[in-house]
Amino acid sequence: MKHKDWIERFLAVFVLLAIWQAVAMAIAQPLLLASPVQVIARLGTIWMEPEFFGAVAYSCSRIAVGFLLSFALGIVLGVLAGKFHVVEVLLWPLMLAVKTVPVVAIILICLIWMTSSQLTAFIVMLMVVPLIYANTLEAIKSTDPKIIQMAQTFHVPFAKRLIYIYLPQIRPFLVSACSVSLGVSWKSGIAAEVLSIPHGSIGELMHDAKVFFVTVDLLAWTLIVVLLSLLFEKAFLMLLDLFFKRLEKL
Amino acid sequence: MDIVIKGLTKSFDGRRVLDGFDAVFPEGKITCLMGDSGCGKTTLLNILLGFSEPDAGVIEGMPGKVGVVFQEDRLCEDFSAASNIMLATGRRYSKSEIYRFLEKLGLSGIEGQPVREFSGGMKRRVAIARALLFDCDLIVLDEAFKGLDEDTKELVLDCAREYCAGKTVVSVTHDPNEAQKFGDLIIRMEKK
Repeated sequence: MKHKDWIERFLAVFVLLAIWQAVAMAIAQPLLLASPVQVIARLGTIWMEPEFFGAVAYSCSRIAVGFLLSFALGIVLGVLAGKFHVVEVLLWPLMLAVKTVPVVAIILICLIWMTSSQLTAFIVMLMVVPLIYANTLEAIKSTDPKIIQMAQTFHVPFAKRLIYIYLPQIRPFLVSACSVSLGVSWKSGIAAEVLSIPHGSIGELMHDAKVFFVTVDLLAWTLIVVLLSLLFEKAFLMLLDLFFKRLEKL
Repeated sequence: MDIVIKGLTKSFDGRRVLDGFDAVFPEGKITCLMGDSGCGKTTLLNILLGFSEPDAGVIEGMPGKVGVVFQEDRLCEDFSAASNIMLATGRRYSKSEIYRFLEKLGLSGIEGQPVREFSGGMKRRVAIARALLFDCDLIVLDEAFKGLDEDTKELVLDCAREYCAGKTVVSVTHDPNEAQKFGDLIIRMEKK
């Protein structure tokens, strides 16, 4: 990113924080709206509380498991649907339903069938699979038919076609899908936790902060979730890039 | 076994491109197909390779495995020359053997370099090497040597002749000198 872009982004964040600070000062009721200064000060102490690292580890692990499962499942289903039209047809109503039904409704329905500790990973998986699936399918469909014809002519086995033809084709689609999906993972995962209140999760702490009107804690945890989501996105995209670079060296 | 083509006919949008075309491609010989653009050379190759169905006519003695150099290079751009060739040949040749062969075609110092960084002529030679090293009984070359400079073309034609020995080859070309030098026999196709 250019130096100028960094400055522009920094200024945009600064303006937003300044507006937030001004509104908080005007309301002057920390119970209703804590100021950014108060939230940042709380961030400095919240990590020292005994449940902090446990809650972060609990939510991170479940969201990561849900995301990785959906990542693998989305690619497999996308490749299968790209190869066999019947799979695409059969999956169409399922993917459409998951995409259009509100996440809260899905969480509440799933709570009938599973425990709160299982719910987070499952909801993340359910929300992310359609995104990865749709992008993989689009990539498979946009593969140059002349390259496919070449592979058929030279009797290239499917496993090799996957590595040499489809994976490089999927790459740009997958990177943009992952960028969106990782954000969705955290949004849906934390929403599932807040509604199902699994013990020792970030969602439980956010739920408690809301119940006891500790707005500053609620905002501090929100900020932590945003930071964790960004961290996850950067780390995963870096690993993905590394994977494709290793693939090219084959 | 010779490849025998009898009465091959193909039309596109009412225009007859091939009209009862007959030919024999003798086993173990290099046959060059020549003719003006639009005379049906590529249509014939597409039918030969099974990419297109003829309206009428039959092809007898067609082998199962065919090595092809298409008009376009059709390479996997993110991968090295050796990887592209091994995609077709499997483990028949090691990477070092493939790079030694590529050196014969004038390509050296390209180990590990992705094909997308190659010039047009270099990509062409990789595509030719892929077809020559592929374990097959028939090699189809669709203007395979087009775009190579004269010196490189000489080098590649010599190498191709050596590696095509004993195989049936059908090569489409517009260059009479190339056909003269490379082919055992020349079939001239007329525009319908």
